[in-house]
Amino acid sequence: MKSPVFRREMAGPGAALLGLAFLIVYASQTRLGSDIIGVLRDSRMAAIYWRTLGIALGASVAATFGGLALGYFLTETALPLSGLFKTVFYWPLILPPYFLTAAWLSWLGDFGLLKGLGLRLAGPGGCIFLMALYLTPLVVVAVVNAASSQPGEGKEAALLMGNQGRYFRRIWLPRVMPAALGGVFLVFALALNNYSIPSILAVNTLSTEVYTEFGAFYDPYRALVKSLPFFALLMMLFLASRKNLTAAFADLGTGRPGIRDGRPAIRTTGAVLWPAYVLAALVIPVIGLILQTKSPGQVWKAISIARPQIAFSLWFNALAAAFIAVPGAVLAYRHSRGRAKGAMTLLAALFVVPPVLAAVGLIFLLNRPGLGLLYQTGFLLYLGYAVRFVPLAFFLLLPAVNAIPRELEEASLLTGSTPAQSRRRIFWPLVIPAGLMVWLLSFFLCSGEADCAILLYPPGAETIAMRVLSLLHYGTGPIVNGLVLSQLALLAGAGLLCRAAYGMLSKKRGGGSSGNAQ
Amino acid sequence: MLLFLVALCGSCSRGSAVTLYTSLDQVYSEPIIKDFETQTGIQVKAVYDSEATKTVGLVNRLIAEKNSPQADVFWNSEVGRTIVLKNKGVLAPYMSPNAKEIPAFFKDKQGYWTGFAARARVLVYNTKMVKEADLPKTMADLLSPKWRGKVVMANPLFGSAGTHFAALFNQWGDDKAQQYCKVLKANGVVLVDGNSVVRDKVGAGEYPIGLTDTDDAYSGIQSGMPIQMAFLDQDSTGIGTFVMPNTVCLIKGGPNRKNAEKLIDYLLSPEVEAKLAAGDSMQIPLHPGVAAKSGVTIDKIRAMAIDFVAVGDKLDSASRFLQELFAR
Repeated sequence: MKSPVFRREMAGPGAALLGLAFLIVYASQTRLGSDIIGVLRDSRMAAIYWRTLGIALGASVAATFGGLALGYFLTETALPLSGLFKTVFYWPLILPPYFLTAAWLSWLGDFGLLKGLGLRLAGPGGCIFLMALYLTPLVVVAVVNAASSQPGEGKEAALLMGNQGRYFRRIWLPRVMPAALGGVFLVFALALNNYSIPSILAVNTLSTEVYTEFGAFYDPYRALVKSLPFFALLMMLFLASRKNLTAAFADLGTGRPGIRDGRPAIRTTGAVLWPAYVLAALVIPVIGLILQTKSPGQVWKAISIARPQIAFSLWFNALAAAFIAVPGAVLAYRHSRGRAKGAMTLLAALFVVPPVLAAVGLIFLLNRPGLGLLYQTGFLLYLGYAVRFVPLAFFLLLPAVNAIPRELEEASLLTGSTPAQSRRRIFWPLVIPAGLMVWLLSFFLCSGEADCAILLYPPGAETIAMRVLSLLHYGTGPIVNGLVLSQLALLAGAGLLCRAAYGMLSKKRGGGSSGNAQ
Repeated sequence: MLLFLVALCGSCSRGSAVTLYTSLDQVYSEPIIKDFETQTGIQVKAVYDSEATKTVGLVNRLIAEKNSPQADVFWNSEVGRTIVLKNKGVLAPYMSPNAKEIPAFFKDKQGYWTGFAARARVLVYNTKMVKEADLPKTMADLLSPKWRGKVVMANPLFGSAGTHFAALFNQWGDDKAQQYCKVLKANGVVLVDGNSVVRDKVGAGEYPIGLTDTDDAYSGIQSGMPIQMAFLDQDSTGIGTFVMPNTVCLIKGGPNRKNAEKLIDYLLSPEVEAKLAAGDSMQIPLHPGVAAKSGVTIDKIRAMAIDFVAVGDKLDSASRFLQELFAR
């Protein structure tokens, strides 16, 4: 007889597989089934599927190797400026992917500053390069957190029994690999559904095809049919990697110093690799923007032009990020405490839906007589953000929630607290530091989100991402560059404030308790 | 969640307002909208389109919102997708008194849409790479081996390029148009993300010639790019160049009908055409007597004689063929 734990563990995947089986049986009996088969047999679609898969795999492989190497150098070597790299490595996520593309085109495009070198940013290779740059931080976070959770004594013992290379192969790599694979799943899913990079580089992928189906032919059904095979693939990958996914972000934002590899060759490699990554993902694009902005006056002019959009984006995205982090925390809590077991599978399903399709679905579902307020207030846009980013918040927060000892809540209940009081006094204070990091990440992601926003932003209240995308029509000129630079400055400011708040909270928590959430 | 809704309500407008969806570039449409707000005191809540999704993003939004319209007015930068909206029952008829002087050719007979401030599809060329005398004179000339791999144009599934090709399908018939597209592809035509990208690539000397819109070509010329533009098929035997007006239409069941009519009247006024003609987009006025900064008026070019309704009806099948051919 199977144990209750086993049954509980298998409930989610089992339900998903049953759902998938039902979908397949249902599909085989309906027009949907024959249409899916028709799409799979179409040689043009097959080429698009393979190209999309190749790009997503290429980006995932590059992000995996890059993330593992960067994570290793950051956690295991005496890397110069490691504090700086720890602060800035996730900043590439600030740059919206469409703008990362445009910024790199300002170097290697038609009017690029380095056009004379003969290097071209084009085709699937260009997509892989940009997606890897954009998404590598997710793998780095996973690797750093998994590596940081290793006990220092174990490492000392391992080093006594062998050299650093042996430690790397036998201990470090097996230890971080599950978490890294969890990060890779996120990279793969995000790369597969990315629209803006292949769109700007004129590469036909599944996301551009889905958009075309919807955009040129007003046919959401065919968009759905073409999306379903990859949706099924991603769901299967999720079921295979769901445990890794929750392990990927354990001890979010924490790290413990240990014995560092100080060999000159290793140190030099790390000292080259890290600056190279930060240069490619952050510094070079930003310098390209600055050089093409020409004067600070242009930044001011850009801010003047887009003041309403900047103001709206700041408060709306800040609020939306809060209402992404909070449901993420609540769902993670309920899942962690044995309730809402299907939540993870459901959230994974939402996460892998192409954003354009999600936006269309929201319009069809909620744009009805009497519900006009949802549109006019921007609530529909928030829901679009929520569909995309609550799953991410959930996966990021689940390990932090799991780390909160249940004994504390039980003790609180035994002393007469109600469950609500117990959550207020135990759960929320302990989850706030990780929640703050998730809020910041959600704020960054919402600020760059354009795939859903293009269909959902409220009339008269454009987001800054939409304004930038609109202005990109004129290329990466001074105004659009100035606008993005001002956006970057604001987001970086928000990031620094958040980091300071996080530091204060962590210090307070570390001083005031036994550090149980660690 | 309630708090969130309350906070969001802060963004709701109070008082007189009208919701406008527009696919004309924001830099050109926004000043016109501001002028209307100043003149009437009516707040315009605008939704703009981006180049990557030119026209079709808003068209899809309008179709998706059909059962509960959020927009009052759609100002489209071209005509093909407006006809699609009419066919899908998204529009309501309205004949503005300000449109009386606009030629009937540019208006829907039943009043579902009205054209104004036109643009034309033109050949843009790099003056350092090609002499004017060597330019192709017709669309058919683009198939010449002389131009193999040297022609760049926007993805014909979207925007004005899509409507232009639907017009060719309508003008030539399916067989001839399909054959034309196949040979064009075999001749190495290069597709890019938008008409402004065509201009940039020609301006940068990456390609000597390309197909784009007059407003994109003008803006490149104004910014000092080494480019000029030429109208194709201007001989007396030629089919003429494809001229497409901006179109404005009333959304059926939109929440602010009266203000919508006021906005449509304003957009169709000679004053707005004059502004669009004098601005950087240098649109071609359709009201008689309105001066054009570019010097190009509608009577100075040989326009393709087409039935816009038939072009709109042709969009879907032409686009499906072009998707199969080009989007591989």
